[in-house]
Order: sequence, then C-alpha cells, then structure tokens
Amino acid sequence: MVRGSASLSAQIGRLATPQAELLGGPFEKKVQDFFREVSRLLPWTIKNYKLDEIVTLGELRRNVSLLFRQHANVTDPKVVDILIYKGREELESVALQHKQRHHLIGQFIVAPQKLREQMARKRPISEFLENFYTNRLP
Amino acid sequence: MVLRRLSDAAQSLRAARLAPVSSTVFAERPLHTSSSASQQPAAAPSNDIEVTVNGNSVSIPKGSTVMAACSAAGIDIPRFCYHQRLSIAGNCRMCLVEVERSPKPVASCAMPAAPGMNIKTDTPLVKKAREGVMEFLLINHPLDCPICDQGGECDLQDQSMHFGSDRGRFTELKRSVHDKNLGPLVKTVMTRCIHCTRCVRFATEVAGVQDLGMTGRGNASEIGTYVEKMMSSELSGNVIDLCPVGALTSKPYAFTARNWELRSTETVDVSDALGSNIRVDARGHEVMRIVPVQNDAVNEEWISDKARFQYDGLKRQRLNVPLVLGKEGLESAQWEEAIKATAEALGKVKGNEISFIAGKLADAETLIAAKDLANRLGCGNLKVESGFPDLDADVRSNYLANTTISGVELADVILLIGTNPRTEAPVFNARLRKVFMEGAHLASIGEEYDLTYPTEHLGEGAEALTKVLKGAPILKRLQEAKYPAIIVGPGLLNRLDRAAVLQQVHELVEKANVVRDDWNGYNVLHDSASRVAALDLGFLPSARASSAPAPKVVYLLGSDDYSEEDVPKDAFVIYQGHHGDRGAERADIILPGSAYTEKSATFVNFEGRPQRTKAAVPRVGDAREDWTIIRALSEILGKPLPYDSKKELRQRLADVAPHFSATDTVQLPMWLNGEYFKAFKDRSGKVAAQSEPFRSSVANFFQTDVISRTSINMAKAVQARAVMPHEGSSLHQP
Repeated sequence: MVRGSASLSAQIGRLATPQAELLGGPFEKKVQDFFREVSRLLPWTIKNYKLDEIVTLGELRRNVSLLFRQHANVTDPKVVDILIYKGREELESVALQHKQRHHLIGQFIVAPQKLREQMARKRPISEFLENFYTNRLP
Repeated sequence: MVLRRLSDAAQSLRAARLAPVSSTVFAERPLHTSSSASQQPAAAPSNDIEVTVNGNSVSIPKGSTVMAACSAAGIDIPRFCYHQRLSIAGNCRMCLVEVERSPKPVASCAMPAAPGMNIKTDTPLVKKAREGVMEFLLINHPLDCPICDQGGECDLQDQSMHFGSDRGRFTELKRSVHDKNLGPLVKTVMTRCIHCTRCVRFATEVAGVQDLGMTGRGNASEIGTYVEKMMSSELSGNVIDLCPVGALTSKPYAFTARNWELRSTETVDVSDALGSNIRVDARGHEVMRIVPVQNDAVNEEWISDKARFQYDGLKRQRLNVPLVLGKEGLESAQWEEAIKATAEALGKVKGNEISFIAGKLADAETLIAAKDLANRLGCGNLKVESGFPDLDADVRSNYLANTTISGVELADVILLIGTNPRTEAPVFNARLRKVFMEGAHLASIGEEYDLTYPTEHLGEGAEALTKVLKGAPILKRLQEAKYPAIIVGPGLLNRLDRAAVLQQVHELVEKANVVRDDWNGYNVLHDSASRVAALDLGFLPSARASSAPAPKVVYLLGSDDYSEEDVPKDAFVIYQGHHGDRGAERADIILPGSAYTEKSATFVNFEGRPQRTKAAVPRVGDAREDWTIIRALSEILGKPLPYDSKKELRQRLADVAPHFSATDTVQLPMWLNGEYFKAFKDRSGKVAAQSEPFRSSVANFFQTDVISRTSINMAKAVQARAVMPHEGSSLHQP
C-alpha cells in the first residue's frame, strides 16, 4: 500500500513537473503550458477529492482559469515566473494531498464564485454589504 | 441544587441590577411597599428590634416575621406556602423553627419577631420537625416525578432531598383527586397538590378573580373552581410559577422539555407596551417556554398570558427567504436581487411618494434607521400603524406614564379615561388593583369594563369629562388627594376628536392640580411595544406630509394592521417582517426580518424605560436582523447610512434621544408647567368633541399582533373564553 501510493505520488509528481525545455522562452507560452499542466491534473483531483458531488470538470477548469485571469495585467516576466512558481507549489500540494477537501472547495469553488459575483457588480460593495449578503452579521 | 425562591437576598440583588431606577430616581420619594414583611424598607433605627438567630444577633424592623429575621441573618428557611407578594397563610408548616421558651416549634412565616427572641434553625428539633412535615406532605403526594413536568425544578423534590427522611413509613393507599379543567393554558394534576393555597391567594389577591378556592375538609379538601370553568384572568399563567409542585403546570409546555435541557436568555416581552422582563427558555433553535423575570419597577414577577403563551406563534407562518413578485406570484430570491429590486422601486419615485409604516413590534434601531433612510430619500411620510400617527411628540411628558409604573402605587385617587388596563396591560392592571387594595379611590370615564376592582363610573364619553370639569365630586377628591393620578388610554388617542378631548383632559389636569412640584400624575397608557420608541425618535409624519400625494411605494416595517387608505390599491408594497400575515399578502417584495426572540433590540415601555431584548434563538432560514436590511438598502440606493455596527447605531439613537443611552432606567420627562398643552386649545377647534363613548383600543386581549394571531395557544384561549359561561356585570368585590 505504502509502495503503491509512493509510486502514485511519483507519477503525479512527474505529471506536475515542467519539462526542462519549457523553462526558457516567452512567458505567454510558459503560462499556457502551466495552465495545461493544471488542467491535466483536474480529472484526477475531482475523483480523488470526491469533488464531483459539487462541481463538474468544466466548471472547475473555468474556475481555475478565472484565477489565472486575475493576473492578466501582469507583464513583467520575473513576476510571471514567480506566479508560476507559486502556482506550481499549490499544484504540488494538491497532487501530494497536502490539502484536504475543504481547502479545495474554499480555494477553487467558493472563492472564484465570489470573484464572479464581485465582477458582476458595477461598483465594489462595502464590507458591511458583503457581510450582509453572506449572513455573517451578528 | 439551588432552591427556587429560597434566597430573598439573591432576588433583591437581581432586582437591584434590573431596576437601578428605583434607587436613583425615587430616592427622595417614600418608596411604597406591600404589606409583606420581607419587603419592608429600612426603617429608622428607633423602629428596629434585636433578635438572635443561631447565636448571631441581627437587627430587623419592628413587625417583621421570624422568617425575615432569619433571612436578615443569611439563613434560608424552607417554605411552600409563604410567598413575599401574597398574604401569609402559614398552612404548609415547612418553615418551622425553634424559638427559646416556646413550647413547640413555630411557623416562622407567620410569627412576628419579638425583641430579644432567640431563634434557632439548626437544632435537632428543627431537623425533626422539617422531616416530619415532609413525611406528612409526601403521604398523599404521588411518586410520579419521572412523568411530572415540574421534575427538576420542583420545590417539593428539592426540599425532600434536603430535609426529608431517607426512608418512608407509609404503606397505605394514597388519596387521588380529580383533575380540574382550568382552560387551555393551565394544566392540572390535582393529586400532586400539597394545599399551599398560593394559587388561590394569587387569584383572589393579585389577579382579582374569585375563581379558585378550597372545598372540603381535612383529607377531602381540594383546590378547585367550585363549578367547572376556566380561570377568567389574563394573568392565570402565573399560578404555574407559583405552584411549588407539579399540580399546576403549563398545558402548551406539557411533556415537551426538561428544564435542564433548556438554554435560558433574559429578555423583554413585546406583547404589550409594558415591557415585562421575561426569560426565554430554548432548546436548539426552538423557543420552548417563556417565564417571567422579577423586575419590581416593571412587572414585579408576573407576566400576562399572552406574553407567556404566544411563543408557539414564533414557529408558524414565518418568512424565511426574500420573495419578489414575478410572473408566477411571489418567487424566492437571493438577498442581492431582493435588495436591488427594492432599491429600484424606491429609486423610481419621488421622495414624497414613498410612505413608511411601522408595525407594533418594530424596534427602536429599525425605526431610527428607517427614519434616517426616509429623510435621505426626501420622504417625511412616516407612520405608526393603527392610530394616532400625528400625536405630538415634542414633549415626552405628553405621551408617557409620568408617575412611572411603580410610582403609581403612591397614588390615592386615580381617574381612568378611555382605558381598559386589563386588556391593554394586564400586569399594570394588577398593580392598579394593588393600589386599590391599599385604599386608593379609582374612578373611570369611558365604556364600563370589569377591571377586577370596583371603580366609580362617571360616564361614557366627553360629556362626563365636561361634568367633572364643572365640579363633580371626583374633582374635589382629586384636588384634595396627596398624589392624584389620571390615566389616559390609547383608545382615546385614536379618536378623531382627540385634540378636543385632550384639551379637556389637560384642563382637568390643571384644575385638579394633578401635576405638582414633586409629583406628576398625568399618565398615558400605550398598547403596542413600538409606539413609545417611535414617538421618542420622531417617527411621525413631517410637517409637509399632509400635503403629499397618495404614496406610490409603501414600505411596511412589520405592519399588518395598517389602514386601507394608507396603502392605495395601485401602490408598490415592500414588506419587511417576520410573519406572513396581511402585510406580506399584499406585498410585492418581502424581506424576511427577525422576531423579538431572535435579535438584540431596544424597546421603550410606556413609562419611557428603554429595555433591550437579547437573542435567545437563531434567526429563521435566510432572515436578517431588521436594521441591517435598511442599512444594506441604503447603500444600494447610493445614500449609505453612517453606521455599520449596532454600537454605532445605538450611538445614533442616543444622539437623537438621550435617554436611549441608559437602558433600564427612566429619565423623568419635563412637564414645562403645562405651557405646552395650551396649544391644544388652538388645535381643538378643528373637530369638536363627539358624544361617542370612550373605548379601549384592545377588544381581544389574546390576539393583538402578528405573533399572537399566529399562535394556536392564543386561538384556543379565545375559543375557551367564547364558550365560558357569561358572568354577570357585577364587579368583583375585593
């Protein structure tokens, strides 16, 4: 069992590790490739964390791409590299099960949903209103 | 285990915390006390006597009982029949103590303490006596604690654990007694009765109905109603608290919970304008029962049947999600959509085409938020439902009970004008009865009601008032009285000819010298919990409101008793409240709010005492606290209110009306020498006083607001009243 799971994580690790030739080149390509990497892991993530009760593959991919798009205005290649690095850290902790189900739900299902609600609003709402809508006022 | 009502000291401590006013505001006035011994004020030193209790010497006022001496020495005496607000019966014998040079143990509740008395409470004789009394009481008491609703909070259970013998010697059959039917509210299991007669004394002395009594002698004696009938009092539920055993228990509460499962929250009742202090006992998110909390300045330790039993209305017909009128009627919506739709409706029309109507249960926080929002929208059409929205609120003494609720006990002549306190505020009526029992003279103008004490009936309408002004004997009585009082009912303020009648009343106030240097006897009684706060905060139509066109958008703040002309047929109606009733049925948008047991909110009672409720149970479904809805709405409308938290909102309340800064106290209003009332003369010209009799505003005591109308308990009580054999018009004699 232990050996089996070790080989599985090794597999996943390989899946999530970038190929050496991709480390150079234009950053648009790097980002695209990293997004593909993430997308490749999504079916396994849904199955492994039993997220199919809450979300479909398409929805989850849209959510992830929304998180990518949050940084659409970043043009500095160094910053992009850092962001990809941080993203890969996240990816690894998902793949190695350092995260639990509720972490994923909060990060990749609830947070993007809130982002969308916010983007749908014409102007940002106050903290009070935010708390009011989410029933968090005492 | 803590013995209920055993510690007078603890009770008075609690009373002092709840009612700091009695010690501050009335410091210079002589405090009126009832005849019971333990309540006697600290008298002058010359009136004190010295007695010894268990070797310690204590000094107590002359005329105190032995029991009072023991409690002064910090010793609790077990008791069943003794109760500090009832007369002394001395029939349970549980309070036996030893007194030196007395041939046998004495009943300490009934024995006056004499100077130099040597009282002992911890001797073998006392222990034996208590054990013996317990044994006698338990002879005929069934061993059904496991199925008894009093189990766990039973005086008999507790005291038999403390003082009883460890074994029984009784082998014969126990006696059994038929249960009595006292109506839909009080359940009886008369076999459990130990004949302390607290209920009988409460009914005759406090409630003022001669319904309960004892029949038979010796082993055959029974507590009952002589003939089968329900208790005809609005205070009948209090016998449940008084009963030290499980003979009288609550019918709606029967077999639903055990007291150790309940989570208690001390809060304030909103079923009438008195603001009785209550304790809400909840299990999970369900209110299981409501019982009174002692507050000598407000409700003593009684509450009305409506306050006690209407809680089942909180479980039915609740609004739990926002609803917006769509193609297929009202459809459930997210809060964001509902608030947006509301803002759209309010934004489309001009300020003076909007109208706000507050209901009977609106709290002060919601009222001030709504008023601030309305003013920001340029709207001055603020109303309180069912009557006198335009009563002047410039001077507080004009609409408050100026004697205060406990202060009315000082009064020696009282004139009731157009009021039936028995339905409008039953607990206050019990206090008026107490005043009568102390020897005050009461007179009334208006329809004649059975108030449980006799009043001199002077006539039905304005002509009787004129007669009094011209010099009826009552005028002289009022003038000669030391503390005269006039009580004006809400029914009178509802009349079209209010200005004319009030002008006469004020003439009488002046003529009879009801307001003196140290005494203001002018009282106004209200019938709904929100009214005084609304007046305090100026939730009234603005000066230009009368010229406004018919409203196109009406915002109902829990208003279900609005009049039809205030809500035109083509108006867009927004209902914010907690029950689906008349208002919600008419509404285009429904915003679910919270009931008084679910929020911390401020209410002001009719003596002007701001009191705060506490949340005892969580809100229902997706409902929100009322003021937050208005605050959220204001932001979407682009006119955000400047408070985000309840603390800031309460600061705003205190800015508008300073007395809100000190809850649980009464700030006595200024009278302005009656100058203010001279203005009534100019206004009274518009509508002359009519001959129609003065009526109470509350015809059906049990169903006055949306919670009590939804309550099945209240509906059953109304039904039981309807089939109750009609009593003659004879007034009960004390």
